[in-house]
Amino acid sequence: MDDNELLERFLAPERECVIDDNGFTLRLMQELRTREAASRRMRRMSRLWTGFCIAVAAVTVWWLVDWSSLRFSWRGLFSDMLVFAFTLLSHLSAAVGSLLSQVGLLNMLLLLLLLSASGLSWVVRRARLYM
Amino acid sequence: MQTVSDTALAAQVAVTGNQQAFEVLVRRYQSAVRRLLLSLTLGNETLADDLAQETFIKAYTHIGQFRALSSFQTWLFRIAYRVFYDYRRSVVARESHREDLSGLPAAATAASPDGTVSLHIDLYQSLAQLKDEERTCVTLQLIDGESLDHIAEITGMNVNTVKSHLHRGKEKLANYLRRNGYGR
Repeated sequence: MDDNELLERFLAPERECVIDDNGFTLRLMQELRTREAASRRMRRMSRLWTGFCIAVAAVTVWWLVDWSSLRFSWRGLFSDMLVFAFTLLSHLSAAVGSLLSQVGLLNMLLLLLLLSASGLSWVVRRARLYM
Repeated sequence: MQTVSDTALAAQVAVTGNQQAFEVLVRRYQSAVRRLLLSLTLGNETLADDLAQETFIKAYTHIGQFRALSSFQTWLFRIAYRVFYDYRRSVVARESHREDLSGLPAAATAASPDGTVSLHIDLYQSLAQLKDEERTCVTLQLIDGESLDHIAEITGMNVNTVKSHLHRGKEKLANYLRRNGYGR
């Protein structure tokens, strides 16, 4: 008898062997539920702790910050920004106005541009026909 | 009654966390996983059951990683093999000298009514002659009927390495059986 036949004969009963469940699945599912419940508790504790830390930080900031000087600084910054925005707008509108006064020249330039673009596309179409 | 496929059940567990679906999978595969771990632990039923439990818990928490590219059993065996090896590494790390399971006496199993207890002791005593890798490959091929590719996938070894372990493992096992009177 060669090695393979010998091993086949020896191990054949083991191959057919079925291990009884014997409560294994029930114990496993119970363990799973226990671990899931523990995991949910941990996540809840973690969220509570995070919320508590945020609340403490917010209260500390509220208590320590000098709100009146902060309000004054923010007001100054906001008004500076508004002045800058209005200045920018007035410069922009002056530029647009001078541009619009050149409208005659602009129209001619646009017409020239359109004519050259359509001429170019006609040339390209003819060239494709002959290719 | 139509049997629901493993992939469908795994999808239910992954998407909705359906524990009843997972229970069906456990009942289907608990015998195969526990049998594999019994062979790897040389018949230590308590240890094999603990490792099997850990295997299924890992399978549940990582069920989203099952892609159905191989069978569910192959995926479970891969987890079981890693669980067993993590346990072995923790045992080695705890003790100062390297302790191989081979050569240790096999744990006694309960006597079964049909008198097959002596066969089981012989099985684990014979498997104890092999190195861990040889025992794993031989068990997966000769008892669980896995192909070379599946064994390579389960163990993370190269196919040629698996072949080499199988060749040596079968030779040692056959020699041990002949020395102890089998095959005469």
